[in-house]
Parts: sequence; C-alpha cells; structure tokens
Amino acid sequence: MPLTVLAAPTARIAPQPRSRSRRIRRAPSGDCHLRALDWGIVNTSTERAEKADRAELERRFADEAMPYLDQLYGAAMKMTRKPQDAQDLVQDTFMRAFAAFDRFTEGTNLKAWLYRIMTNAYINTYRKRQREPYLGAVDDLEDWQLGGAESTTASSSRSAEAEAIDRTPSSVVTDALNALPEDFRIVVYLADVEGFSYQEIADIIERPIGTVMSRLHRGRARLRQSLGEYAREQGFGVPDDARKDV
Amino acid sequence: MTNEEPAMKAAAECDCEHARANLEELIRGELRDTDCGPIRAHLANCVECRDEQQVFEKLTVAVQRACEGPAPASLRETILTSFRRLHDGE
Repeated sequence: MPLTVLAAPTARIAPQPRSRSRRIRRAPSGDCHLRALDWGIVNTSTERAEKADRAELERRFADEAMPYLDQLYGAAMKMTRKPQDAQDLVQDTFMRAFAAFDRFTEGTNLKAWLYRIMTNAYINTYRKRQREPYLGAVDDLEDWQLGGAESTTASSSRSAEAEAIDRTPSSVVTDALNALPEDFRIVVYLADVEGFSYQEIADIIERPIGTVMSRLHRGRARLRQSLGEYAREQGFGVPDDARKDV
Repeated sequence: MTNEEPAMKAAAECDCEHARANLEELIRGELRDTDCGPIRAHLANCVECRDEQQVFEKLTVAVQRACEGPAPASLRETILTSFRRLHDGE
C-alpha cells in the first residue's frame, strides 16, 4: 500500500500575485500648505522616486532571478524541445516575472515561483503553438492506451538494468524523455532534475499531489521501459529473462 | 541483540510489495520518518529491492545527465536588453 506522503513542505511557494498594490506615495502629513503647492514639483519628485524604486527592483531582480537562467532554459528545452522556442519561453518568463516581481514576497521560494510562471506561460501560450497534437488529459488515459510501459523487467536482471541505465548515452535518454507525454515529462523534469518536492510540483503545475505522483511514476516507468529496450537492442544485457545462453 | 530486535521487527512489517510501492517516495524524502524505518530495514535484508532502488537512482542520474547544459550566452544579454528597453521606454 502506498503510504501518505508528506504534504507540508518547509518552503511553500508564495501565493500567486495578490492585488496590484504598489506602495502609495502620500504627501508628507501635517503640511497643509501642500494643497496650494505647485503639483508639478511634487510629480517630478514622485517620478524620480519611482524611477529609483524601479532601478532598485531591476537590480534585485537581476541579482536574484537571473542566476536561474540556465536551469529555466533546461526546463524550457524539455517543455518545447526546440532551442528557439525554449529561448522565447525563457525570455517571456523573465519578462512576466519582472512585471510581477514587486508582488513577489521576499524570502519565499523564488525558484518555484519562476517555474510556476514558466509552466503557466508554456501551457497557456506555447503549447498551442506546438505542432504536436496535445494528448489532452493524459491522467485519465490508461497506460495501454498510451502504448508501451506495460511490462516490467524480470527480477533476475535488475542489477544489469541499473548498470545499463548508467551506460546509456545522454542523447538516447533525451530522446526517451522527449517521447514522453508532455505532462509526464514536465513532472519528471521538475522532480529529477530540479529536485522539487511533490508539494512544490503540485503548486507549480497547479494540480493535486496525487496527480504529481501518478505522472511521475508513470513517466519514469515509461522512461525505464524505453531505456531497457535500447539496452536490449545494444546487447547491453538486461535480457527479458535470465541469461540462459551464457 | 537488543539492538537487533527492533530492526527485525521493523523489517517484518514490510514486504517487497510494500517496499517497492513506496521506494520512490523513500528515496525522495517524501515519507514520514516513522514510515521509513520498516522500509529501510527491509532494504537492508533484500537484495532484489536494493537492486530496484539502484535502478530508481540511476534513472534519476540519467535524466539529470541528459538535462545538463547552459543556456545560450546570447539569451542572457537579450533578456537584460529587454529590461533596459522597458525601463527606457517609460
């Protein structure tokens, strides 16, 4: 029986942007003469202050968010599978993130917040552009409907299997990853490469933890299946059965 | 001997099926401490489940390996330029 997983991570993602609440700039209190003042002067100083605020925000964003560029690009490549689309997606993500950065709560999980923005951008914009027909709610499909991944490796060859996986060229792993239904692929990436917890992934893709677990398990089972097939083709061992001929 | 007893008792609470159903979560640190004990104890005694654990771990390493690589250098510059343009445009 699967056990209940931990559902209370230490670092929850900040809630999605609340209302647009930039700090309201008040005129200094207790100065009744203000009413009679030339508002042109006030506006200029407000503008100057806003510019300074903006520059500060930009500096903070560059310092804190830009270091995630390579990681986000890696994830974007796994989502779009095309370098140009991945670059566009990452750029779009950073622009969206920057536009919302004044609403990001400092001290919460910035990396997960960026991933959530990117995942949303991908699903809402980029996925529509992709030529591949979208499989729809892949969670509702049985494995046999998706094809492959029905058999598991014989128990006698598991240690050979681990070794074969280790020897599989990255290009083959990439192809196998790219062949996964995309909802599976994204969850496998977020868990295996980024090391996000189930709860963090649930927050990023905005689905329940049960869905995250199911996609992860099914995605990895299919991956394992494809790598096993490759290993057998290459004669790496990993026989379907124990090695009778040796 | 007194040290071994709890470990044996814990191992008895977990069979291969239970261990495999929760292996992935164990490796990822998604289980409560109290649930980990029996599975760890089972793994200590079961070669097959340990091999299965190896497969799980190698699979993660293989995925990580396939996903390495930096973004194109030009991308960083493109993004920073877009910020500046946003800034100057106002």
